Amino acid sequence: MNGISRILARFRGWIQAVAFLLTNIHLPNFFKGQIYRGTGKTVCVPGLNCYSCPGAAGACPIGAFQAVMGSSKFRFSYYITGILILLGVLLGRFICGFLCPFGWFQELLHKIPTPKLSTRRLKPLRYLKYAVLLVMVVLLPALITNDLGMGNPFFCKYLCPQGVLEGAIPLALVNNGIRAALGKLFTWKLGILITVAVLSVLFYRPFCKWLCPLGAFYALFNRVSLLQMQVDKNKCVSCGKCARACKMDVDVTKHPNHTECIRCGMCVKACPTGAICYRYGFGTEKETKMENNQMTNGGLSE
Amino acid sequence: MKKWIGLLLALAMVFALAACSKEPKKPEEKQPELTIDEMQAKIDEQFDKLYGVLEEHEDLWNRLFEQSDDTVNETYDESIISTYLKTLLEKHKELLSDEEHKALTEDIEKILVIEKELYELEETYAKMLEESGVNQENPTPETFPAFQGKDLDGNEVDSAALFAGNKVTVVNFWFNGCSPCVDELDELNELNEQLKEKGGAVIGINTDTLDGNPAMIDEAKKILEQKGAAYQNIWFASDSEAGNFAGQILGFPTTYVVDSNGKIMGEPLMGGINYPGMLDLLNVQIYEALGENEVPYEDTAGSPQS
Repeated sequence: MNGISRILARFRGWIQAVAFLLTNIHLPNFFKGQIYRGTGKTVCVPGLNCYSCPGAAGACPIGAFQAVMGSSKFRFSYYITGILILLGVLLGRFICGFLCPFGWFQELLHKIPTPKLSTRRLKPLRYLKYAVLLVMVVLLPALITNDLGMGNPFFCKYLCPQGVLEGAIPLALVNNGIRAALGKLFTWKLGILITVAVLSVLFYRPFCKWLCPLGAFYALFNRVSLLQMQVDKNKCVSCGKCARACKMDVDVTKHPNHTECIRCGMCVKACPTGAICYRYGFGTEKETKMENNQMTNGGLSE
Repeated sequence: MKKWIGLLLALAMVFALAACSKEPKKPEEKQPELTIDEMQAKIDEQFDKLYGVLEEHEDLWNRLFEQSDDTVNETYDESIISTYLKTLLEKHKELLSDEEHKALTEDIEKILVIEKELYELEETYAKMLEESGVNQENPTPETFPAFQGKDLDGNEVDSAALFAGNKVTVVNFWFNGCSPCVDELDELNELNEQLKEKGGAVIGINTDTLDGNPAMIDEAKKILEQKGAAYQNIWFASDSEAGNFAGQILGFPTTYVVDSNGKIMGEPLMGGINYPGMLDLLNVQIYEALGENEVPYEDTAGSPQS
């Protein structure tokens, strides 16, 4: 199991690249300045990826959720919530670490060699993303409506930097109608995008840590997700390398299923004894620990 | 081989530039009806032929290309490639034996024939692109695509009669779930009332109602009624030319101004006319269509913003 975990962790960058390509498979649309509108758009992709990205193969879960919440016909977006719960249970924040295009974007920026700053002291900001999820994605689109009961996708409209990066910028480059329509909102969100980009160079994944409503949703599922981190207490020598390697400020030995853990596997790679691995499937942590104990004890007594 | 690619890229660019510029037209030659893609394929075929000729004596050409400084004569005509090759050949005669020189001269003759054909194809292709309006530099076609449709009450609508009957037609694309679209419906109705006096009209096209979807039509009618919008809303088949046109729209609402000849008066307006300054932009096109100097309608939404 540790072998597979190490391979996953080592090739994460490539998996992210492939995930980005699969999420935005309609590459020729970038040059045509068009959006794909086929049946793929009736489902949403796992990561934060704008519907209006010319290449996008599916809808954005957060965008789709708000669109339904803001519609006058529906009170709640059961379909999208269902998909999100399924993804949350199947993978949890593994999606952030491996599949999300905006996460990858921030990580690539973080590779720019500059002095890096720690986010350890900024832990309270983590809770901001739950507020973004609750207020901008759920409440405002449902409650602030016009005379016909139609709301606005507040997160997409006022906050989302991915929409500017993947939607507004590529479309405006090749489509003069869009270019002409760019206004104050675009300037505001471009400002957010630039801020996030600059912060990404200095901090590791600032948007994921502090603002992302999708990350907030998946975070709630880390504890019950089928994919979890597992620390073999018998192999662990308490050296603390894993906690120091973690750029999401998690101590995996204490909280293997912490809401902030994006399953990136940096701790797996850092562990000198191979004590940390991914675990997939049903069963509680305790049972596995006991099995491990028995196995190790059995091994020793032989 | 790098040189080859360099040369071919340079030539391809020359062709592309030439396709955009307005060259003096040659006497019209009737091409059989081909689609743009078929034309593109024919052009590619000619290019392949041309490469084929060059490949026959690839080593000899490479010897010459090594001497080339990559400058291509700037005036584009039907023999640009062969002229270039001929100049190169004469300039570096000493690198080749008489036999080799003769072989390449013959190749150049072959290339001249191919590129003349290529030139004509490119000309036609450029014209086709211009007519179809898919030129990427300017995706807005000149005329609004013709359509046969119905209004939401089931009356037949023919686009030619519709446009000809109005001095100016403001065509607003919207859909039921689009809140900025719905928000501007009352302003559009007000605009329609104002335009009536000038012999113009506002027409709505709700993309949800295309193909006459009855549930969507009911919903659209309800919304229009609630917003007090009484102007005509129409639908047509989504697989028609106008349907494709509607399917290409990236942002809603999008509003076109069309004159009585069906001509589109410039770039469409993206965004609601209830936003400050937007109606001013629309009015410029409206009075261009009317051929008037006076702004036909006061912008009550506010002053223009930068």
